[in-house]
Amino acid sequence: MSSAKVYVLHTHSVSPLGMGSAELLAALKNQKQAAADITQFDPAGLAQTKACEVAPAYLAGLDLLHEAWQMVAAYDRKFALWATAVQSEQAQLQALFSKTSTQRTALFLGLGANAIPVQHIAKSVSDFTAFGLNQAIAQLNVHVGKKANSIFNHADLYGNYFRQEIAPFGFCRNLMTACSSSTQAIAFGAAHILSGQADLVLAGGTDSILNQFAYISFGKLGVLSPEECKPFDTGRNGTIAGECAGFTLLASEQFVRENGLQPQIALLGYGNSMDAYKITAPDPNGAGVERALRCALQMAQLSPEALDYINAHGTGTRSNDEAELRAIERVVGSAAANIAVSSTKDRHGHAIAAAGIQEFHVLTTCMSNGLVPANLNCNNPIQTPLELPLQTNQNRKIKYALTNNFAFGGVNCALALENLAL
Amino acid sequence: MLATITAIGFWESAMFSVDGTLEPRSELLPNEAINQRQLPHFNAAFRQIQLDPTHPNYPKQSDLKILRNDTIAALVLSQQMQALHQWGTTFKEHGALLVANSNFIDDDVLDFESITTAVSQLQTALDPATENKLFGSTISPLLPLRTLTNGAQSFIAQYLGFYGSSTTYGSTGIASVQALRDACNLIIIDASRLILVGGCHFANLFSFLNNCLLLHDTEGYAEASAASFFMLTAANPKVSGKHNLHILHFYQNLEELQGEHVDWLFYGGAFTPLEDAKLLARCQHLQYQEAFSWFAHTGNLGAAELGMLLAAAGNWLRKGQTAVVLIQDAFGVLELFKVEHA
Repeated sequence: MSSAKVYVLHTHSVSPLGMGSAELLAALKNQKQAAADITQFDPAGLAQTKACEVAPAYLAGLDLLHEAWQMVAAYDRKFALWATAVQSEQAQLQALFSKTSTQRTALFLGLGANAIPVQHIAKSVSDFTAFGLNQAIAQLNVHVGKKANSIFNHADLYGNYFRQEIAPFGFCRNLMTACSSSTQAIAFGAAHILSGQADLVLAGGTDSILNQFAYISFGKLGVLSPEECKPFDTGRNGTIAGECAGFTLLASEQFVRENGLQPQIALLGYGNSMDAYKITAPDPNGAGVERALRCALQMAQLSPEALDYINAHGTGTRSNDEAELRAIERVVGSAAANIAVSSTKDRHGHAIAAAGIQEFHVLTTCMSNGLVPANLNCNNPIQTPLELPLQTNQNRKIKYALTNNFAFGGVNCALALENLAL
Repeated sequence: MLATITAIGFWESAMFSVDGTLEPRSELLPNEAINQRQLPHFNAAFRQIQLDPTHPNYPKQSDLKILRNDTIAALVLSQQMQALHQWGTTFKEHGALLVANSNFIDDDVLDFESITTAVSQLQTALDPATENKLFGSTISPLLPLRTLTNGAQSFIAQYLGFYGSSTTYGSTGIASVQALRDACNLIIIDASRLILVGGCHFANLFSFLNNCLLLHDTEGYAEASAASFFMLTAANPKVSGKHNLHILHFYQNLEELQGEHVDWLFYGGAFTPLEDAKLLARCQHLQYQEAFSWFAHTGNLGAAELGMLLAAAGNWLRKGQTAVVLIQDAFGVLELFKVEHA
């Protein structure tokens, strides 16, 4: 495997912790927890009525979009968030994409599944029963122009928007591995740079399950906590839903050199693995997680002793957290006591397919600012030789770090990063 | 030469091959699926895979409730291929599994009757709490798992005992070509040496809803559920299996075909006869002896189309002959590359 680095030029997201790195840093420093009453539908009567939502003010820019995109955004929250994230950085994106030939640029997007907008159908078609669903769908699902439909769209929608409104690119990949989607998008994007296929890759994703259809059906999996999300606490009982859209710009060494750039973060390696256990549950021994972590360290040519911090997947569910900690313990061995581990899902919720890019942005922000985020809701931590910072953030330099994400179906992905400023 | 294909398998309707063997072109039957009304003003014909629940590789009963038919087909096919080719530790622990899936929602999920019930309940409920309760009662707790986008990938890993690097590409027909391109990349950077690439597709109303409005004309619209896989290894000119192919080169666009001479053109991705004809016409830059598309026999095969075209190439090209393989997605985006029979 190549020991060449992939450089992280810029990372951006719109999330429940704000828009962009400055707001994210402020929220992390202030130990903001974004969970609040759900506003995108009325959650009355549900076991959990709170989630971490992106504030409506951030989406104000959607009003400036072409009518076709506004129509799509009205049905698809993932698209609304995606358009917001890239539109808000349009000038910088266009400037960077113009620095190399189109064929040397690519998008790698981690995306969630479509949700059937039953609430929209219910509100839009007054005499629904008499009207019939086929007729209702035929009426509501229309081609709005810009190669987009109002309701039912291929995953290519998000790349098509970027191509038409932001900048042309050479090729696009849509990776769809649930909660590991955008983490894998970063990993596979990096692989393309390492293989010489691209100089500049925008990797990221978007997702939201904060609609009635997805939220209620996701809740039926039994993974949503009726209380607060408490990663690594012995009393943890589930995660809290979130949403996010974001991206990171990855570049080759040649691109960085030719353009006189001075990136602060490098992606040194990644590890992918499968549990091959059960579609409904992760391997309780965390063997797949362990393989992903070992692969990431091996590719990064890092010893566990070099690690300062791991931003864990840490969903706050019974099945994830302990298995993840045990896997980390096996990988880092005697270095455990010097490695801080935390999950930030207690602050921003679980953004599903966008969890990877959200937490990548959290990690790069923390690395750039010497901040180790604490596990805010962990009062009775799982016994572990690892350092679990509790309740209060630490000011601490992070030279090398990992970020993990795992998905239903047993997909595991870990990324290894270096702070080049240290 | 970028990589070599050493095994191919496919399944469409009753066409099933675990060793890549395909009957002669002259014996392929025309598509006789009946064109039916799907939505007001829209007709379409769908073909489905003929699954056999008594098959020894049929999934466990406990898994069936969250398996889509395209995933079941992919599971049965991949297990059979593994048994035939004896893929061992090198693949299972250090290989890669790249799966394209061009439709994640099956008929049970897009069950109009249950959605009708759910929507009706939203409209008649007196208050939000009642609405949520009634709505929740109509949603199966299995729905998030049935619509899991990486369902095929994860079940294949589970049934093959695969622990390596893996991902899912979606949701159009060219997703499997993208998986192939990425597989070639993984070989180039020596991240994996054995990569199982494939795709599966569920032909149904949901797929139709995504595609139909992107077409100028839906006359003769046809799709088929299918699954196909192939094993990719590092380029090896010495490999000379019966249906083996070398991947020679990816093209950026059709214009690059100018001046190219090949023996065959294998093309696909059309949803209608008119689109199929137009796609062939777009290849005017290329000089070839014969051209083949599955459309007239099956309809659009989604993410399984690539493996089916490669199977045709593996069977009908003679040693040393070359072909261009070309697939177009619903947006008209093309992926194309050149192969040579090994």
